[in-house]
Amino acid sequence: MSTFERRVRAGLQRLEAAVPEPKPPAARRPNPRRRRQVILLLAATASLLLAGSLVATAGRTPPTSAQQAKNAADEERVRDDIGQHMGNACLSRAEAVAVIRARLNALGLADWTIRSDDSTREAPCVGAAAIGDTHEVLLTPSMGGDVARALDAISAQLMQECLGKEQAVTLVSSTLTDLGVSNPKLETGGVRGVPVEYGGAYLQHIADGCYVYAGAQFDDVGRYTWYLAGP
Amino acid sequence: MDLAGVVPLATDLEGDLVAAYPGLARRLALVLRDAADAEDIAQAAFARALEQRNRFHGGDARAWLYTIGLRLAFNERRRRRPITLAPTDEPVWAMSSEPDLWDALGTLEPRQRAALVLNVLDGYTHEEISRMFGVRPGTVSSWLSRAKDRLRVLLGDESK
Repeated sequence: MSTFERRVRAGLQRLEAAVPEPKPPAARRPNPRRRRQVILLLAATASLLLAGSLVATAGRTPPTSAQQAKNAADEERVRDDIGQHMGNACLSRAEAVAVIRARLNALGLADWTIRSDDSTREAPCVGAAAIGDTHEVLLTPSMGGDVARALDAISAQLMQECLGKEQAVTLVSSTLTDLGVSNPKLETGGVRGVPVEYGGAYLQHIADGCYVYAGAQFDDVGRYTWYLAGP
Repeated sequence: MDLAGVVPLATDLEGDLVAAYPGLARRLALVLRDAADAEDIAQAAFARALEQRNRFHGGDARAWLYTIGLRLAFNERRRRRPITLAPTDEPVWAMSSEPDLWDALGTLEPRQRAALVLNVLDGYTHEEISRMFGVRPGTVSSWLSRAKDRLRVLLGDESK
């Protein structure tokens, strides 16, 4: 490590130490009774394996570097291929699963699984993220390519014009409705962040009394809220 | 085989994940430049790691948790926020600690920043980082080279 790298490392260590203390992880944990059942089941399974003279550690063999390289290459292949075939279409969860399954089979990756959790349950559209290490494609919420493009255009329009709160809400709301989003949830408030492409002009526009597009966020079941920021 | 040696494997992993969690949250704060966002993603990564514990094949639990966290950060966060947001005000904790380095890190592309943190702070190799991101080692080498060159320019490298 060079002197410069040691200097950067020391700086990163100081920065890292300054990050506010994170709260302890709050994952949903199995209840103790269920946990005991799992442990008993594991013990019984282990006993059976021992009785049958099977090697219980076979499933825990670390992947070789060749397997890891293949996982990484497969992930890239899946990401590119699914990206091409899903394109900007707004697919439901069932449609996305059908497309992804067909593409995985075509790529010779029939052993890959498709996983979905609650976050796509009410999402308007579904996207996908490939994870090579676990041989799975994770379904993720998406607002859809058409909506995202329309919002990019609105974002630019709101920066060029000066619309008040009501006009801006109407513009975004009617655009979303025209694109098939029923009862879009919009919130107006203060600045949530500054798009890097606009920089200081964004804050100046708000200071001039104009409303700007401030992004979107989905909740635990994939329902979107769109934000506008203003003075 | 000792039966007592088989059963605790899952709980050992959980302990390793709990131990690795604060490190992930702190590193994501440097990468995403937002401590609250970083904590949300670290929490999600921890939960997902527990869900997928049967898929852990042994080895470095911390690297496994980091892999999940980084992929969540770079896959799902991109969908969550359709426009690129930067904090309106730089965080006090960063500006009171290493303001020049913080500003210089802010000029890097997020993946370059993540690779730099993992390489320089944690000592992960190019190959290990490439596995975390699911890219080729050469790609990571390129990210790191550009990131270090950029920092040399912005921070000054007296050794040159």
